[in-house]
Amino acid sequence: MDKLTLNDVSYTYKSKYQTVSALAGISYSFEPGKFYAVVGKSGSGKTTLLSLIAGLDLPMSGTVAFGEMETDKIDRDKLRLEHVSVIYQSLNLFPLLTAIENVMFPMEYRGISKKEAEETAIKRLESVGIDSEKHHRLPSMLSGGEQQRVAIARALAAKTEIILADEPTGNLDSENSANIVELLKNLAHSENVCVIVVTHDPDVAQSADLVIELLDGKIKS
Amino acid sequence: MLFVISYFMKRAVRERIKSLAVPILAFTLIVLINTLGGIKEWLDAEFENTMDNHVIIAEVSDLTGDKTDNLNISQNALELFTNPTAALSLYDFTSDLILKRSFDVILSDSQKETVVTAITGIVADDRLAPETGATVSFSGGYDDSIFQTDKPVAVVSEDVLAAATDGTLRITITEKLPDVSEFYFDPDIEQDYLEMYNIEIRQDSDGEWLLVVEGDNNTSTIAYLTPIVQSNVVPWYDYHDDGFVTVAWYLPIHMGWEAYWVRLAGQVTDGGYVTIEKELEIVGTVTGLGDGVIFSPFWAINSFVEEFEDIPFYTDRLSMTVADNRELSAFKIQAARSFARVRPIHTTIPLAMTVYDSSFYEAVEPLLQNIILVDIAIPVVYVISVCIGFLASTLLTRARRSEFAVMRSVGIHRRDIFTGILSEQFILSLIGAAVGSGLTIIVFGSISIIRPAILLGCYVLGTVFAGIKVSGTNVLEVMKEKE
Repeated sequence: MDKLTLNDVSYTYKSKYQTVSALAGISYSFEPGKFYAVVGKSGSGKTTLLSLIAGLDLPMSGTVAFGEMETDKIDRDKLRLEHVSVIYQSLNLFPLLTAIENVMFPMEYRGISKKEAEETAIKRLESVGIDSEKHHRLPSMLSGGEQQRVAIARALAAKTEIILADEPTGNLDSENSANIVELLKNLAHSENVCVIVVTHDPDVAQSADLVIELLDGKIKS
Repeated sequence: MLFVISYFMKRAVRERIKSLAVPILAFTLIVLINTLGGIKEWLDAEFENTMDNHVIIAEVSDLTGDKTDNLNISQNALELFTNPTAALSLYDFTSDLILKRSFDVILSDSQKETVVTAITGIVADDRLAPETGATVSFSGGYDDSIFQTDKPVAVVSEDVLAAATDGTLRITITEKLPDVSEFYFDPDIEQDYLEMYNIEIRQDSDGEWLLVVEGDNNTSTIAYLTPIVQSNVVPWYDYHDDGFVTVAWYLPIHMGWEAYWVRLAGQVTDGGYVTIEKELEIVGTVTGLGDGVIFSPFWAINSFVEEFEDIPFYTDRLSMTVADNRELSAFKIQAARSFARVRPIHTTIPLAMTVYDSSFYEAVEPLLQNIILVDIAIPVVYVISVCIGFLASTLLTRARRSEFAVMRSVGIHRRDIFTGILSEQFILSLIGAAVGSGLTIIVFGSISIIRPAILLGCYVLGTVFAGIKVSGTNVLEVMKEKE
């Protein structure tokens, strides 16, 4: 994986009544195979940081680069399809597709055959602890933790080098939260994936290899 | 892109009930537009049928409109209807002329005096109308259409048939040729008129009566009041039983022509008679009108009379059918112009034309009004379809914003999402349209494919606006809303 580098990245939200600086000159490099936790109070810029890395938006100044590729010069949809997976606190899955269909979706979109995509999906679902009997269930028939696992399985199946997770354990109980965190950590170490988790949960932060604390749009530590 | 479209269709199938909203909307709109279209086609057909088949009669009369017989309409007036190259001709606008004229005749075999009525059809003479009780019977395979020919035939009363020899009627047509010994102005004529145009009557040195009009620049034009045509001044004479002779002529005034009409009195004397002996084959009988009745084709008798220049041509009755109802307005305008010329020149009685078109307009105007209403309603439905397409798509896709956010977050291109939405809405609406069209085919038998296609296009256009809006979903905004 090419190194993910943020270089003097700033972002400002402008509304009718005010201008808010969400990020102010962030510079950082993320390594593959590490589990990062991004912490900070509400409004510190955590989610903004995640969205810029995912290519969901562009920085006002500075650059977000994957190796030599800066996000303002590449197809950001393709970035998310092939290089960066995003997992949210909830609503990660297509509600009318089964678990296995959800995992197969990005692969089939990329042109991978249905058969190959299905084989990969089965493998990945089982690797995250989703039994075969649940593969053909709709998300509404899965628990919150199981849904997050399916989202992780989709990210694995897409073979993206970076997994971003925004409060992935926010809706889960402690046991499930711990399981998800463990899964993500193992992913980082065993699959050499760069996992970046935005979290308010101190337990999640404690499990991370590196913790980045944001305060007022800047890296405090 | 095909994969995304297949995803949208898969989810539509799995969604079942919710997915029916779009087809139902499309079905309703299609049924509406096809119904309007069916009504329009029916109205158009009725309109065309009325235009093609409604018979409008126009009839020449006096200025009151009451007198339609014994009008003494001259050849020049009739030429408006028979000569396509005549100035202000009405030839192209009319058909099925009804003409009638009576001639005094003597039956050769019995020396009995009677009248031959020359007609172009039995409708030309009111005596033959069904309500009179008179009946006409044809023999030899002939029917009423024989009167439109110039065949020398006749339909006669029983007594005339009995007096005829071998089914042939021999007649002697007599026409009086009056002479006029003295001319003077009709005492009722307005003196102002005479003074305005400096019109006077005088005799020349040879005792010939002439009419003089003093024009501008000390010019004068002379019209001899005897039946002799003079150079470029052609008087027109109409002799009346009361002894008056009407004269009318064209006078050149400067660069234009003005028509002057003045009614003179002339002392009529007996100028003798012209007689023509002819034979007519009897092809039918008429009963219920008494004795001595003879009807013959107008153009057959006229061909006899044409042999003698001194016998003026005229018809006592002139009516016609409007040839093309679509040209009715043009016909009436042309007729107004034509009859403005006819009146003072070609007949003694000022003529008018009545067009019996009230029943036509009673039939056509409601159709036209309804056609206009439907013509307005149809584009309104198209506009409504755009709005409904937009509203329906907006409402339906708005509820799926999180789904589109997930698509964006896993890297699905915005254009593929837009195409998927459009395809889904199009296919679902097509299903509804197909069912709706099938229903209207059952009801109306057949439908035009154009209107449903336009309506579907309008609906999908509305979808486009909604699709553009929703395909650009801001992922973070949606996720934060949900959390």
